[in-house]
Order: sequence, then structure tokens, then C-alpha cells
Amino acid sequence: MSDDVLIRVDAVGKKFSHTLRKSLLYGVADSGNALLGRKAKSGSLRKDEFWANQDIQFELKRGECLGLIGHNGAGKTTLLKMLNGLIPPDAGRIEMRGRVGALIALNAGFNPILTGRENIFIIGSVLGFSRKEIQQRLESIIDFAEIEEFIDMPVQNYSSGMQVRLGFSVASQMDPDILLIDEVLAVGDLGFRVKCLNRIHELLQRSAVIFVSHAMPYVSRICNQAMLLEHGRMLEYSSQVGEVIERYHAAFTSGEKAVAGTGEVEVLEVSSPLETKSEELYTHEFNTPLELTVRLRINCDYEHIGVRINIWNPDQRPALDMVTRGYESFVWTHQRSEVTLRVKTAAVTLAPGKHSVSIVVFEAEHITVLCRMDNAFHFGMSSHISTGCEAFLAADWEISEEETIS
Amino acid sequence: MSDLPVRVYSQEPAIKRPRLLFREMSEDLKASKELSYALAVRDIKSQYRQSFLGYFWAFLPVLGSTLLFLFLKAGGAIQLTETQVPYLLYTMVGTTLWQLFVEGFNKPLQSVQGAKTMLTKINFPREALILSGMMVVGMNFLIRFVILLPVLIFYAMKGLFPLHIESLVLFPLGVLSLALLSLALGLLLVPVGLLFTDIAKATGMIISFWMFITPVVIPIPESGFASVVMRYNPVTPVLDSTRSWLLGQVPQFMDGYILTVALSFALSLLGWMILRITFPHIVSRLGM
Repeated sequence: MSDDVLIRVDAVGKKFSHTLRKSLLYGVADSGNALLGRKAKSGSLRKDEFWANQDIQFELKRGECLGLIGHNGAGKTTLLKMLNGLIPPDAGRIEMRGRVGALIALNAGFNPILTGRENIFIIGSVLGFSRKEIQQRLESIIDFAEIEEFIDMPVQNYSSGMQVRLGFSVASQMDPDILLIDEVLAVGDLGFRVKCLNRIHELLQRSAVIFVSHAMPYVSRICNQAMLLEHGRMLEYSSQVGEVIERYHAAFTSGEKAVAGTGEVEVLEVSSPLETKSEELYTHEFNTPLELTVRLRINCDYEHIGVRINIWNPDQRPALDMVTRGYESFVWTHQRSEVTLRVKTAAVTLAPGKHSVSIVVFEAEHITVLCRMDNAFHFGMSSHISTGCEAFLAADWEISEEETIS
Repeated sequence: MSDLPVRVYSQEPAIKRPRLLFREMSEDLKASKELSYALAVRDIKSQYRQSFLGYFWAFLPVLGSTLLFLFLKAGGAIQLTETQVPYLLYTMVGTTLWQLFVEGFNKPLQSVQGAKTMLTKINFPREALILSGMMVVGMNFLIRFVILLPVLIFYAMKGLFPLHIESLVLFPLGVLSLALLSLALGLLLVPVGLLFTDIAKATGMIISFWMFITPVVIPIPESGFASVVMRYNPVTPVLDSTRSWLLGQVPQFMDGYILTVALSFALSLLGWMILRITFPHIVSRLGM
């Protein structure tokens, strides 16, 4: 059972046109060809056309989950739509075995002036449930959406979050062989997201899943393989999900230095004595101390000046706040106008990926920010295992086996 | 695991494998039974929920054009061939049937157009949209007919038109034939109409012209150019026969009726096939 391939995608491509007029005319031409039984020329582009997807190739078995990542407009949704049979490929072949279910923002079929309950029946039937099946699942749908109070209110009075909840709740009742998920976790509050994730995990056991998301922690948590799309092509496809995600992050151009604050302090230089000049991006050895050198020019006469160094993870979330061994800000008494700080941290166990460093210099009494420099320094982290978390925490583990009395 | 349904998407034109095409068509038609009903209920409910006059709106156009033509005729503004039944009855039944044809003709495109966002996001049997549309058309006709019923009963009791049971039973058949004809013509417009708004705009104009070459409110003249055009209009035999059956008259165009119904069948099937084959290509152009 574990090795039955449910999705087979072979050299698939899809063409779109830049201009609307051409797009519509090509639509007519394609339709005409299809009616006459003529195979359209697949290899070449017509005027104003581009490949929205090209040479996509993969197979997915039951129990596997493929994370589809890439920038906006990379072709993820186009691929998903071809897999769902909504639009035909312009090249290659797709074979889908089993019932296909799609978890997408499902407020498309809602009628705004009908009540939530009535809309459940409509969306349910659109997704292929019979009236009886919906009746049986009605309780759990309403429960899942957590909107029992408003279920008999017209949907137009729902907030967009509530609408999505309702749509997702209906869709989550499906039990498909192939599940396509497009950015559903981007909406809804935390509690609902957790619910959705749990439901997806349940479905994962018995389906082949394709998961499109921009939220890398979810991708690394859910998927056991990942594909990075760029300009419609497969840039990377591997079961090393962490590596693909790293590549995705690296594809973003490194953030420009950004300076804010009163300007009374300038950051002249941030570097690491560990980096070699030839390296484009300094890669820090996992579980070793990080060393930084920060040169500052101070153009004011506050008595006490403090500094903090923050490290941001590849998702641009703050990961670490660098302080002293006594867990306080590093503060010194101001005397010279130019100072050099040499920092050596405890062993760093951050997750793999490209991290950035912010320097924050402030006046110690009123915590007025004198200078804040973001993207002052970048470094990559080396690691062998992937994680959706920001860092690893080493621990001693012990297991004691209880003796059972039989 | 070979019992899993398999669908293959490739460039291989579906029309090259007609057996598979017909199998998928009948599968989807079966699968769309419940869905089309749910969609029709949605449309009918929402159609009238936001209005006070509600179902009465379905009947207003009939009343409007009947009154208009009664006024024009009585005032001597137009000269019409004498009708065998009272003119008011002729017009009212005529407009009710015409309304059915117009709605049936417009509905396929409207209903698919209205589901555009659903089409680009969810894979469901597209047949359901057409079916539900026709159910709504049928429902609207029933509403109009129920409102028309007292008028018919009143005229029948006064003996102003004959009640023939044997022809009356043919009336529902006539109604279905008219609906089928409208569906056949309407279906053909869907593929192009979805891409280009010209179609929807043009049909509005065509319909208002078409009414005057169909014996809806104007009986076919004895002779002349208009008479020829009206006789060759495919709606004429179906609409006129249906009205004759209701009002106990002998239908004039039985040959034309049979021919038109046969053609409607063939065209509906053809339109359905065309829609199936072209649909994915058209959805590709409808955007994300």
C-alpha cells in the first residue's frame, strides 16, 4: 500500500499570455484545436506568451507530502490547478489516481444572503457530498468552524475570517486519496490554524498531499519532500526539506542595511573575525561560539551607553537577543568617540539558514535609541537536521523502563 | 488498488477517444444530480429573499407586455391579424412561453458566468451549472403559470376558449420542447460568451428583435415578407403549437415542431460535447 503512486507528473508545462486580448484569442484557438482533435504545438511559444510552468516532473505516493514553495508568481497555484483538473497542461502528462480533494479558500461558492447553514449544504454538494452525508456531518462542521452562534445568520454578515473558517470546515470533512492544500493556513486565528494542522496531519496518513505555503515552519513540519519553483521551473526538488527551504531563503536578495535612530551614534563596521574574505556568506559552524566585531562612532555626550545585538532567523522573525553573561544589556561609560566592541557568544545552536544581525545602541537611562542598524551582518548556519523551530536545544536524555507486573 | 478512479490530463484531445468522453460525460451527469438541485435551491431562495414583492416579479414582465399590446391594439396604433382566441389570452400565454424561451436561452451563459470564481477554484461536474440553471428557469415558469391559471380558468368558464383534454395533455410536452430548444441554442453561446462579453451584450438586442418575428404578441400575418420570416423562425412552431395545445386549438406547424425538437436534441448534445471539450481551455483564460 505504501508504494502506490497516486500522482504522476511527467514533463508538464503550461503557457499563459501577457496580454488579455491575446490570452482570450489563444483560448479560442486552443478550444478550436481541441474540438477538431488537433494536438496543439506544445514546444513553442506564441507571441506574448510565457511558460507559467515548464518541465515539472515528480511522483507522489500515498502517505507522502510534497511542499511546494516559491515566490509569488512562481507557478505554484498554476501547477495545483492542473493537478486538480481545472486547466489542461500545454505539455506533458498528469495522471491522478483516486479521489482528489482541494483545501483552498472556499468562500468562492458562498451566496452572501443565504445563512451559514444553507451555505454548508451548497459548498458540501459542490465538493461532492450528498445531502444525507452533509446532514450527518453538519454537527462536526459547525463545531469545527466554531460559529454555532451565527450559523443561521446571512453569510454576508460574517467577517472574512469566519467565512474562510466555514469553507474550510466543510472541506475538511472530505476524505480524499489526493489532497491539494493552497495557503489555507494564512488565514484564521491561531486556534483555528492549530485545528487545521491537526486535521491535515490526520489526512496525511492516508493520502498523498501537496502543500503550498509561504510559511516555512509549516512546510518543514508537515512535508517529507519539497519542491522550489522559480519562473515556473523546478529549481530544486528533494526529500531534504531543510535544504530546499534554505535555497528558498537564499533566493531572496540579502536585505539592505537599514539605519534608524537619532543618528548620534554611527555603526562604522560589523564583521566577524571568523569569516574569510573569499566567502560570499560566512557560514557559522553549528554549536560553536559566534564572534563579532562592532565599530561605533559616538557623537554625543550621554554618560551611559548600552548595546544589544539581535539575530533574525531566515523567516525574518527575531530569534536571539544577545546580552551579557549576567543576562543584562551590555552598558559602558562613554569616554571616547570611537569604540570597538568584541563579542564572543556561547555556542550557537540556531536552525539552518541565513540569519541577519541587528545592532541597537541606546542611551542607558531613558532607553532612547541612538542608532539601530538592521541587516548589519549576515551569516548562514550549518546543520544536518532540519527543524521548523528557530534553534536547537541540546539536552541529556535518560530512559527508565518500568517493570510491569504481569 | 486498481479500483481507484484514474483521470489523465494531457494534450491528447478528448475527442480522439469518444468512448472515454461519453463515459465521463454520463458519469458527471449522474454526479451532478444532487449538486444541481442544491444550486437551484440556492438560486431560487436568494432570488426572492431580498425583495418584498418576491415571486410576483417573475410575472411582471408578462403583465407589462400584455397591457402594452392591449393598449396599442385598442388604440389602433397597430393592426394585427385576428386571433382565434381572445387577444388578451393569446398575448398572455404567448409572453409566458416566450419568457420561458428567453430565460432558457440566456441561462446557460448566465449561470456559468455567475460561477466564474468557483470554476477557477473547485473541480465539480460543470453539468450541474447548466442543469441547475434550467431548474431555475423551470421554477420561474411554474410561478408564472400559477399566476396565469386564474385568468385561464376565468376565460374557460366563460366559454371563450375550448377545453380539450386530449390536447391539454400535450401542453407539458410543448413546454419541455420549448425549454429544450432554448437550452440547445443557449448552450452553443457559452464557450465564446465566457471569453468575450460581446455575446452577452448582443443577445440582449437579438432577443428583443426576435420577439417580433415570433408569434408571441403578434400573430403571423397572412402573407408578406414578415410572414415568411416568422414561419422559418425555429421558435415559431414550438411556441405556437404549445399555446394551441393549451388553448384547445389545432396546431398549425406540426412538421416544423417535430423537426425543431429533433434538431434541439441533436444540438443540445453537440453543445454539451463542445462545452466539455473547450471548458478547461476557457477556464485557463478566466484568471486565477
